[in-house]
Amino acid sequence: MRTMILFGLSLFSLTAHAAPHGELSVEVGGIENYDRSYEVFNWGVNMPSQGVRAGIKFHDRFTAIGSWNHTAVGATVTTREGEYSNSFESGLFMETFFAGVKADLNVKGFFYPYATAQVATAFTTMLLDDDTNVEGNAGEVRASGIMPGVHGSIGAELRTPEGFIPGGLQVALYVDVGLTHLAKASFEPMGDMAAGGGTVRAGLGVRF
Amino acid sequence: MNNATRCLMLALGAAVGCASFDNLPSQTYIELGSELWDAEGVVARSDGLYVRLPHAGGLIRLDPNAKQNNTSSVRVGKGKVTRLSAAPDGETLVAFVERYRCDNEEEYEATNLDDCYDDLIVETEIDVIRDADVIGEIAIDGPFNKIAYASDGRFGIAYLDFSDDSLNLTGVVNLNSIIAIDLVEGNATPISVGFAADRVLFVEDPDLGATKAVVLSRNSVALINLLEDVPEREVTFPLTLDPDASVIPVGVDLTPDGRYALISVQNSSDLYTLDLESQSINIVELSSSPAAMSVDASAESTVLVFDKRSKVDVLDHTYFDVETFNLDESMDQISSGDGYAVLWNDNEKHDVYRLDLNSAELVEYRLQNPAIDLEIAPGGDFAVVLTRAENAFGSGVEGVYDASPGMEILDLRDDDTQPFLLEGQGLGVAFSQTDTELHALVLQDGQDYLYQLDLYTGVAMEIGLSKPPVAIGSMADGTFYITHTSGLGLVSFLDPLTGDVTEIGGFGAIDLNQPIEMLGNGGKS
Repeated sequence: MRTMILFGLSLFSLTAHAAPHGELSVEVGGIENYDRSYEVFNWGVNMPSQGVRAGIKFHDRFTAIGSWNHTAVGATVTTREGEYSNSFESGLFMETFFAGVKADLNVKGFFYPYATAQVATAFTTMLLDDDTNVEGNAGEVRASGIMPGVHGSIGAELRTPEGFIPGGLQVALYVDVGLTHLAKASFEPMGDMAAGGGTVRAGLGVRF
Repeated sequence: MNNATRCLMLALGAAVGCASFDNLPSQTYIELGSELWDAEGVVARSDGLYVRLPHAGGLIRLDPNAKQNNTSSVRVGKGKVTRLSAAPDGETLVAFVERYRCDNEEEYEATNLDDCYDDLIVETEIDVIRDADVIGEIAIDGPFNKIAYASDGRFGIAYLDFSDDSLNLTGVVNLNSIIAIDLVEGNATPISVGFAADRVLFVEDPDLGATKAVVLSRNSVALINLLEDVPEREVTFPLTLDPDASVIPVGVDLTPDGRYALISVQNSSDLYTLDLESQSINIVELSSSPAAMSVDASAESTVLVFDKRSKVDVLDHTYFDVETFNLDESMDQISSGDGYAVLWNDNEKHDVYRLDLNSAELVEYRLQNPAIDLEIAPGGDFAVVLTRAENAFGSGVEGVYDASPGMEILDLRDDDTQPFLLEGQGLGVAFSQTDTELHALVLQDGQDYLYQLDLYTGVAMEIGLSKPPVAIGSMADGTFYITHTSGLGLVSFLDPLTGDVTEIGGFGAIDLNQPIEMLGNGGKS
């Protein structure tokens, strides 16, 4: 805890070198989802995602960041009662938009530990389909909801040294872990779903 | 619109575009422990078709005539609907509902079944439902799973049906008890009647409705007076005085005047005639131990068949004399018409008989394959028999028949039979009738069409279905409902006059995400 506090304070106290002002990355990762509703979409609790993150530095230590993460999971769900079984297809599509602030620390010009605090909004659609071979069949069920939330993370970024690539461009690789909470939303007729838990992301991008 | 807004809209548009039914990302296989809907246990009422949702624990109503929302949930509260039962008035639905408590002393409050790690306390209740609303809740003490109703729908007798594979016996169960339920007053009275009661008949008065219930159990028959303030057992008729003997009733019926109860018993050629007025018993000797029994009101007689003897007995209700007719094969099923009985066998036999109870004329029909079901069409002129393939090695047309499930139309006005080969095993038959047409609608296992045959003209057609059927039945307005093999729920409603099919599907997803809730912790409140 003491280390974390010192790290946080150091973000404000150390003087930065002249640094790139923009960042753009592609990232992959996942958010945990312990909600019972998620059981029909995926085995386990992980909601894998991929997306892009962009940022603009507005202070030596602070960057306004925003990201979009796309999740698409689905399963063939078998329902069983005694000897009889039926099945259907399920799909969960979640478009999560994050916006917030990243505070980072320049260590030796290539290693950048950082922390973020963000708000999130997840546009989520659940689809269930009784027969994927017949478009528009009576067993197609669609439910959508908007889940507001918050996200906090710490991460570490490795960059190519300044000047290594002409034009002030740097290539960056980062890993970020944190917590996300997306509030419960109604997905009629299926019911409610919330999401949240540990979040892990890894990204590759440029700093300019 | 500035650039940022335009970009956001594009991103959202792309996101929405991803969520379509033609690119579902099937990445894994998941198995749920129960069906989302019960395709075999639906119940038709005048206001719609009621469907149980076992996974969510709920109950819904499908209304094919609704202009907008054709699916509505019935609010049965916390717990799980385990069975449905149709009262004879055509409007009232009775739902068996299990309420759960968790018998733990933990600090946490168990809110759903997943939270209860200790013993589960199950409380059973029956909910009386009309027009998708619960109008009465009656607690019943015991895992009763079946209700027999009086024809006016006021009284019901709840009992344990041990032939039901899904019967779940937990805790201490009193096997001598039944519950007399007054659905109008909303009360339930436990009554001790005898061991393993499983047959109930009602003595009904044209003015008063049901006045008494006759409940059969092993070794005894109880007569229950329903018109007391609290229904009570009036008398018990012992079927044997030997405590070592076990007399198990296999068939029971009342004479049309309600005075006599006729009871056949297992492995005995004795027919017990209980005089419910004078409260006495007579025993009539039959040809053998009966396999089936049917009372005919118009002919004032009872027909009995025997699976071990090729005979049929006809018992008159005036003097209780028995007239015996010889058959070529033994019969174990009876379907009753007005003034006649159709005798058939659902084992290995091929004969079917039509016995006219007024003229004593016996007509024999010969089926190509053994019967599994026989339905008499409205009007009584035809019977439709569903048959199964049999293990035989014939050649030619006999071999084809033997290897295939079939259907045979019996013309009950003479001795004609008309055999058909079916593509799949026949699952059920329903009928639709107009002034000039009489259609039989046949469901076949694994076939996604309905075979419609006009029994008068022989004109046939196929009505396409989206999925193979499970069951067929009729609604109050003459529409047919057909349930299908479907994970998310699919019911087709067929208008027999126009041939129009209306589908309602996807209702199995209702409350899919919601756990079955518990009443809380602790014992009964």
